[in-house]
Amino acid sequence: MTAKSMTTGDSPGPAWSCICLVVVLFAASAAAAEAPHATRLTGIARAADGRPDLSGIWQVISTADFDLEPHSTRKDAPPGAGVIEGDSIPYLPSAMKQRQANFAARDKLDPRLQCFTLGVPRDNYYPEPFQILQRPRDLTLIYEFGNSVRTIHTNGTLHPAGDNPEFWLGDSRGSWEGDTLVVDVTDFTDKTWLDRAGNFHSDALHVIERWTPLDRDHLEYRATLEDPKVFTRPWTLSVILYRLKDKNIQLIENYCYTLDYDRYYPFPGEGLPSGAP
Amino acid sequence: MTNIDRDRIMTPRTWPMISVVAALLAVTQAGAQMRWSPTVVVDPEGPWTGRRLADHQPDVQGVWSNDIANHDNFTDPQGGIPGDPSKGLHVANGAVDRPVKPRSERAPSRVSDPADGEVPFQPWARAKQQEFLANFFNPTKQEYIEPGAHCAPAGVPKSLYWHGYEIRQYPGIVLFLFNGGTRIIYLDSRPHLPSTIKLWNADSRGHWEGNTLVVDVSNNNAKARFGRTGEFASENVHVVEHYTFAAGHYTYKAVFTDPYVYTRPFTVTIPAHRITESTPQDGWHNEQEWANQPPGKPPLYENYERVCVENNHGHGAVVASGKPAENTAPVSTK
Amino acid sequence: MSVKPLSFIAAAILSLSATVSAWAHHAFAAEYDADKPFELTGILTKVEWVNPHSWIYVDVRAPDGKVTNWQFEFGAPNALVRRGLHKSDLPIGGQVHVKGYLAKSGQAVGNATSVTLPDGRNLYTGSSGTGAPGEQ
Repeated sequence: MTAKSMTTGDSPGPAWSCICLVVVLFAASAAAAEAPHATRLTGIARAADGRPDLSGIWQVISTADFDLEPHSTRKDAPPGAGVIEGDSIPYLPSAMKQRQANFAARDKLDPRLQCFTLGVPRDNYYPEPFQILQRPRDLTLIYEFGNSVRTIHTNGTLHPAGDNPEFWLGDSRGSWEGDTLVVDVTDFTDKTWLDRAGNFHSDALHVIERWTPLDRDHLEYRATLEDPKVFTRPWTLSVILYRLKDKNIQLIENYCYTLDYDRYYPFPGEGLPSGAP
Repeated sequence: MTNIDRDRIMTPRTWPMISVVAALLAVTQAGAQMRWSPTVVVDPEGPWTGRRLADHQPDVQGVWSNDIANHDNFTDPQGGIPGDPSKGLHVANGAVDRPVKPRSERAPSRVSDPADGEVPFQPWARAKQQEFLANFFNPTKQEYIEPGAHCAPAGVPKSLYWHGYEIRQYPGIVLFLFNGGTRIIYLDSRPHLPSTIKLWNADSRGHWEGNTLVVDVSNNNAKARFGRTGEFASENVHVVEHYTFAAGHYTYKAVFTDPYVYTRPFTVTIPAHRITESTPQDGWHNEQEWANQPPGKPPLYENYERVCVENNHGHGAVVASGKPAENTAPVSTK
Repeated sequence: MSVKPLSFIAAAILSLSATVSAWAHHAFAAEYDADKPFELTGILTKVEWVNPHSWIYVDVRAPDGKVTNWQFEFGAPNALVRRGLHKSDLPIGGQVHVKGYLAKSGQAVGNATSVTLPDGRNLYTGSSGTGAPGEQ
């Protein structure tokens, strides 16, 4: 790319603007040839196929899991400005009653208290790390809380046909739009909550996630939820995920649901000596 | 594996090598019969000549499962659980009693060293193992209920003969996805977790030597036991595993060291085979489901979510409160 | 209980092709008593379509009028669907007739071997054997 020559006496402004414009247009067209849908980010991790590589250990800092909606301080939750678009989740009137009942009994009914699978989207903003392991055909997400394993298939396969299975984590099929991983999630049970405040869904839940790197160490996670049995319309939440960079960081297996009985195994009492030889 | 040379049938005391080619043919075509085959296929250690991943790891990704039987009996895998009251046509759910072959015609112990095939327990530990087994079919205490009944993970090594599982690989990581449990094997030089942290599936660090993945296993909470016959380790156990891969088969050989429980280290040998789209679903080795492929794409297996939920009721003779039950007969209505 | 040999063999053959995944988690004979069969009829109050085994909850009225809510264990959802049993076949409020074996704990829990649905169909619901693969 050669600069346009300037004749003596031309004012530099318009000529330089012209050169800059040409350079910018050329650069933009080069970028567009690689990622036709969006401006290509620099400085993020990329896989061999050019896609962003989301591999790593991630965790939110936000208060989303305490309550997705804006809320003042509570005895069991710090204040939060909310992570939803708009001020409130658009419940159907009958569902709003259920939500209020959940909230009132949250210290007993929250499935997290039994270490049940948190599900989608809650696992992604629960304040405990999760690990993304990415290959071309899929992403494996291991959520430390309860050691839940989720596969996002990126191999062109579709949701299961025929009888709808009921999954705690839903069925996830993803594809890339530029540098954003778009994941369609269906086939849910109704057993998970969306946060500790009793926000909930039915088995008709449908989630569309958008995972976008902002830079090397930050992901934006957006999820649009629709559920005709519970909400009047689709609504969207958005959180930032931070890469954990502590030295030798790894997930630590957390089978919290075994805590009620693990003292009996392999056998209780004075049975086994402990401590290294 | 219907045609077995007589002189190659395994006795409990011998471990002959079978040609890998024959083994490959056999394992891919005869999975169902293989469960009851007495022959243990041992893959030789050596260079890897197959496909490699970008970080040079041998590519062993896919679905795998143990060749022989299940977790009923650790040292006599095809012998059933001693004391099993399920017998004959009257057993529940339509199971038909099958005549059990003599011990010499059954697969050898998973304990390949010492030669007698027994876990070299100290006397106190042997007594605890026998106690678990004696109470297995009438568990009046929580400790006699196998932890898997509560959805606990199967641990090391039981995860390798408890259903099929998947291996996925990434730069510097080998991931085992079991039916209820994971093991992330880091291939870099990071240290193990601090020794006070004890995990159901332990903590693993590995490296490749040719066709063999060598894994150092510590931080084991040792709660899962090795099977329904009750063999166990303590949380001090240290395991060094060798996974030796051929294209469609691999052999697991691991040395278990625990001076609190055993009189000497012992070796566990577990053969495993690859599950492919040609392998029928059977709900044990192959729990894959057919993926919903777009038109024109070939058939493909995939793994569904594995979430185990127990409904907080009593198991065996133990009620949810943890106390043994007083038996009360229900009232039948028609 | 009286069993017609041919139908039992047919059931055994059917169970061969069924999955055994439920018995991986616990041995039948460790939790249920093969010498204590039951038959109960009642009204469905809840259905849990979960792994490793599904559960139905049924209000059973005793001759003296007392109602007990029973839990019955079925096979894993995938196994049931392969046998033609879908969650929608078990509507809350529908009447079911369940046959199986009692839990050793003495609680109102049973392992179901078959169920007669509100629509009249009778289907096998359990898993076969003690969990050993390849049982014949």
